[in-house]
Amino acid sequence: MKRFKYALAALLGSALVASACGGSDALVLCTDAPYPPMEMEIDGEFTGFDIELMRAIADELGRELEVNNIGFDPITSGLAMESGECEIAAASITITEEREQNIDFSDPYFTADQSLLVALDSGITNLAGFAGKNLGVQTGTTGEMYANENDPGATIISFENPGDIFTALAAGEIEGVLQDIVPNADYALNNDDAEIVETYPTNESYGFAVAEEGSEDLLADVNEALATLRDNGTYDQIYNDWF
Amino acid sequence: MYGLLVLVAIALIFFADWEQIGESFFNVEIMRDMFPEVVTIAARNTIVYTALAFALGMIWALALALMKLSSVRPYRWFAMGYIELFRGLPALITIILVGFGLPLAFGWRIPGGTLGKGAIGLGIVAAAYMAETIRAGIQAVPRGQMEAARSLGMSPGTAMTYIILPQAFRIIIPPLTNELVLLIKDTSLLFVLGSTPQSKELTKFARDVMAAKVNATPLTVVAVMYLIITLPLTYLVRRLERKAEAEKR
Repeated sequence: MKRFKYALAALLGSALVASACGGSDALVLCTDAPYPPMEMEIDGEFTGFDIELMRAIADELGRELEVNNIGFDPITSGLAMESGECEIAAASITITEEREQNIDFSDPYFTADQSLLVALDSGITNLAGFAGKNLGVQTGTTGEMYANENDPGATIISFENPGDIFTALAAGEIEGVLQDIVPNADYALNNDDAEIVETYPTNESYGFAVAEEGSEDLLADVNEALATLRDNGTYDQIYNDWF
Repeated sequence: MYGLLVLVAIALIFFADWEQIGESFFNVEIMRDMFPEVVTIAARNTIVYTALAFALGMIWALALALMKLSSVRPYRWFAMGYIELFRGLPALITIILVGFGLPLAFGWRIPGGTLGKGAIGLGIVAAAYMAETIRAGIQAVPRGQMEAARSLGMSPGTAMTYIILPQAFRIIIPPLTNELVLLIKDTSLLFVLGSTPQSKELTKFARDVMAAKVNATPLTVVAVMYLIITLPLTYLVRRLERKAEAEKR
């Protein structure tokens, strides 16, 4: 009887592993959703800039893409890739030296620029247009520093979180928001009354992450595919879908 | 009993990591950096927000108290609904509703920036509490006062204004001062409305310095600032209460 139980457990276990792996050749991607518009779930399907770019890369490699929404910490610690949960991760991971001790990064695929979002009815088209107007920023961020250094004579109002900023924008308390491009792009995507009019470069960029050991081939393939997509315009196409 | 108290105090002093506390909460250099802005901007703003909110709240509270005592039923219903609503809601939520909700709903921007929005938001909350205090004060004035005034030929309005209210306010000055002290501390919630370098009150000011210096010393500094503002007021309340007690005898 005991032996039978073990056999059953082994059978169930192998069935679980098989179902988790899906098709044997699928490229399994770890992510941390939702972080719109980079990664999110729409109607039960994962999508977003990271996911769609990765799907295109998988296409280049002749493989299907499968998404495993696992959370941020197991990705940046490298555990998710080392334990075989996935081969590669895309989760808006800023490339830092600290993280490079646990994981290897692909070539940068996205620069996390600062951006200026304005309410369309304000008629403002650039930062200089904010002279005498109210500009929202988030306390303690790169965006706040940038706004203060390049102050066009605006009233710079700092808020504690993005939710407060966008509520103030909708309420007309501020005419625009200077912050990371990701939350601004998400707002512009979902609201017709605001758009991004300017971006300002920073030195922060995102990379795909793989396990430190045994991923050299995959990393080379991914970098090559990324370069191809940039050359043939697919990258720009996906970018324009989300930003 | 005292022995136990002393023992606990000694244990606390002995086991606390004083070096760590000194470094994190009493960094003299950071303290020095905070002056004079912590007084000229932060403390000043805290006082201005409080004063304006208290003035608005007081006027509104008086109206509500009179409504609650009115013989017209809808007035009473309105006052009761208002008081229950805004006493029941956290002040933070009321402030957000006023600061963002009103402009969203009516497309009307409250004038005066953070000062205007903050004063109205806090005033609305303060009015709910003060209305009850004022009502209690009015009811504490002996009924005979109103009857005597009326028998002299005063109209109900005149009697209320010149006979009842002056006596009522005398009774409720201590609880009203308590409201003022509560209001001072509630100004720390105004950060949700967003702030400019010129409009920060004490808590927001401290939190920003905290974030920049990664040190908790600014909290100590503004804690002392709050006490400098509130202690004289609480002292005043004690004096007034003692005086009222003495007069009763």
